[in-house]
This record gives sequence, structure tokens and C-alpha cells, in this order.
Amino acid sequence: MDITSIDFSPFIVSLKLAFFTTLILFFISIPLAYFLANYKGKFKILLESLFSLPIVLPPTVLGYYLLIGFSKISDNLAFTFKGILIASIIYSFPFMFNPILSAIENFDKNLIEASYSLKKTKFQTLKNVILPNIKPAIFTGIVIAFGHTIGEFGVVLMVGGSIDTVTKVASIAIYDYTETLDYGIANFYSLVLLVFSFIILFGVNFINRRMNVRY
Amino acid sequence: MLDIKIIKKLHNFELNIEFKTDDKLVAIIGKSGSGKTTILRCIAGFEKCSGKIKVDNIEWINLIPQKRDFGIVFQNYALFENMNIEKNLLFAKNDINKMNYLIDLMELKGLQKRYPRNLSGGEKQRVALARALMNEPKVLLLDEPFSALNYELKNKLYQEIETIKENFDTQIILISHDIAEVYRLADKIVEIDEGKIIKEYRTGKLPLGKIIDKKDNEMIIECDGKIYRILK
Repeated sequence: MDITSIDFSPFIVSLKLAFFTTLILFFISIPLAYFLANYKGKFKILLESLFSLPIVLPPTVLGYYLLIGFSKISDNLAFTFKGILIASIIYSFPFMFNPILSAIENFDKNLIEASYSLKKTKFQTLKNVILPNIKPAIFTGIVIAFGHTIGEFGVVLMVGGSIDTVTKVASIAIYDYTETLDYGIANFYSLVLLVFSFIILFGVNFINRRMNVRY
Repeated sequence: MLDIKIIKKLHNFELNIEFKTDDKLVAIIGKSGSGKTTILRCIAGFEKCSGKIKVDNIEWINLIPQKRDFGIVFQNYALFENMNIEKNLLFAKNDINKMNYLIDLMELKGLQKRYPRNLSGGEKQRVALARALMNEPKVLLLDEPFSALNYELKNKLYQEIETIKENFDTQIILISHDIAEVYRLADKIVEIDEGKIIKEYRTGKLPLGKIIDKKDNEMIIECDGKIYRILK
């Protein structure tokens, strides 16, 4: 196998998708987790279940509903990068959201109350007290959401198909090459994703341990 | 002047206490689970209750904690681990002169750049006191602040409390279950059990000596070569 002949565009699409998914999830997850951690209403369990649904939902089910939904909203979402980005945000949401929610829920209430006693608003307390002290959870969320998006297959295939340089991500490329019995390239792609996944988990554990020592 | 009436339904009983005082340091004592900490949390606004919480004739009962003029020191200190000592104090109020004054007063010189994790229990406690005083609150709430410290450190911090009483125009409410500590520091003692006041009395000024012995109903203090026997 000549490495120069390998098409790297699926990796680029995967990385681009993972980057934007993670970035958007970062800004969505923090306010939502803060809201849910402080919400004491009767819909709490309902909201928790809803937010964690993508963990257990078969990707094809999510993909199917998104495809149907997209067709009713716009002609420019299905089989586009924008479409798989929306699907990835929904599918990877709990992987960013849950570690942050758990960290805020378990955060020492005395620290929050100490901040209120110093006349700091809820926003000032979140920004200056809570977020700096839950960095390990935020970091875990970022890395796991990024890694999870890189490995997405079912939902991306359903919503985006396999369009070169647009929606064909690395995991779909592996499937395509295996289908055409091109095992050499499929093997190379698989090896890259395997090493990448290991590095992600090793990195999370390593940095979390260091951060936990520091804080 | 504190004018307090707190009514709140708790798990096993109803908290219903009322007291009025202009003493500098009021101690609330009682067994574990008697409702002491809940009183403090209601005054701070961390928990809802009915009744009245009047401080210098200003009603706090419907105010959020940020609008109430108080400082608090928790049993676990609650220092912000992401900030060094200087930043912990400046986060309360961006006033370098006030910070330097409190650093001197609480004998924290040389520790400003350290993080809370690098401080001893007594140092953390003094930082927590300094931080709570940055805004010069009308009321300072102390939730069993000395319970995790040894006798030597406690003695040192009792001196700091005396310093606060002398230097600040603030009323202090101390929660404790240590009768010796309370007799040493408080001007007035409110004893509660199962949410009700069972005794309310003023204390005489006790010498800040060394506690030699402490029993349920008495303690022996040595001060300037004299032995004092204090009965409950």
C-alpha cells in the first residue's frame, strides 16, 4: 500500500466535524448543566432522561428522525455538512453535558454560598468560583465529546450519506473500503482511529489525574 | 441590634426561636441536630423561613443572600481553591488597603501568594475570617469554625475573635457545641434543643487562659497563675 495514494479527506471531514461539534457543545452544555443542577422542579427527571437519551438511543433511530425532521424544515440540511453537524451535536451532547452536570451537582455548596455572602451574583459565582474549580470535568467533556464525534458512524451515515469531502467521515470510509474489499486502506484507517481513541482516553486520564492533584 | 424570630418546619420538629440582642457576640449552643446551623442558614438567606430577621431595623427575611449585609465562616473554611489568599480576599472586595489591613490583623503576612491547599487548618481559618470581614458586614456568622482545630490553634483563634470584636462594628453569631469555647467568647448564650430556646443568659467576661480540664458541667481555667472553676 502506497501511503501517498491514501485519501485523507475523510479524516479532515471527521476532524472538522468533531471540532465544530465540540465547540458548539461547550457553549450549550455549561448553561444547560448549570440550569439543570439548580432546577428543583417536577420535570427534573424528565429533563435528565431527555438530555441523556442519545447515550442509549440507536444511532439509526436518531438519524431516521433527524432525516424526517430535516426534510420538513429545509432542503439544505440532509446530506450536507450542516446536517451532520446538527446530528453530531445532538448525538454527542450527553458526553459533554453529563460530566459537567455531575461536577456542578457535586460542587461544594459552601463555596457557592461563600461567594453569595460576598455579594457575588449567580453569574459571577459560576464564572469565578464554579467553572475554574470543575476544570477536570470540563476537560473530560471536551475530550470525550471530540473523540465520540470522531467515531460516529450510524447517525452520520443516515443523515449525511457518504459524499466525498462533504459528509464522508473516517468511520464511513472504513465501511466503504471494507465493502469494496480494499482491506489495506480499511486497515490503515482503522489503525489510525484505534490509536487516536487510545490517545484520547490516555490523555483524559493523565490530565485529569494531574488536574485533580492541582485542585 | 439583632431582632430575630425564625419559624421553620424541619424533618423531626419545628424550629421556632426568638431573641433580641445588641451584644457583640451571641453564641447559639445545642446538641447536634438541634437546629443551630439552620438558624444561621436562615439568617444568611440560604434557607427560606418565616418570622423576622431584623438587623438594625432593616428586615432581611425576603432578601436574597447577596442583599444581606453579612459575612460567614464555614466549618470547612470554603476558601476558593483556584485563588491564592490575596485573590480570595480581593474577590470579596477589590480594596488593597483593606486587604493589607486584614492580612496584618489576622497575622497572615507572607502567606498572600499561597493557595489554600498549602495552608494549615488555623491559617485557613484566619483567611476565612479575613475574607468574611472584607466587606465590613453588619453580622458575622461563624458556623462551628473551631471544631476541627486543636486546643493550641483554638486559643490563638479566640484571640483573633477578640481582635475582631474590638476592631469591627459587627455583631457576631457563633454556632458551637463546645461550652468552654462559648463561655470564653460570648457575651450572650442562647441554648436550644429540638428547635426551641431552652435557656438564654449573659456571660461574665472570662479570662483568656489555658483550659486545664473540661467536663459536662464545669471547666477549669488557668490564667496568670490563678485557677478558675467555671460552672455551667
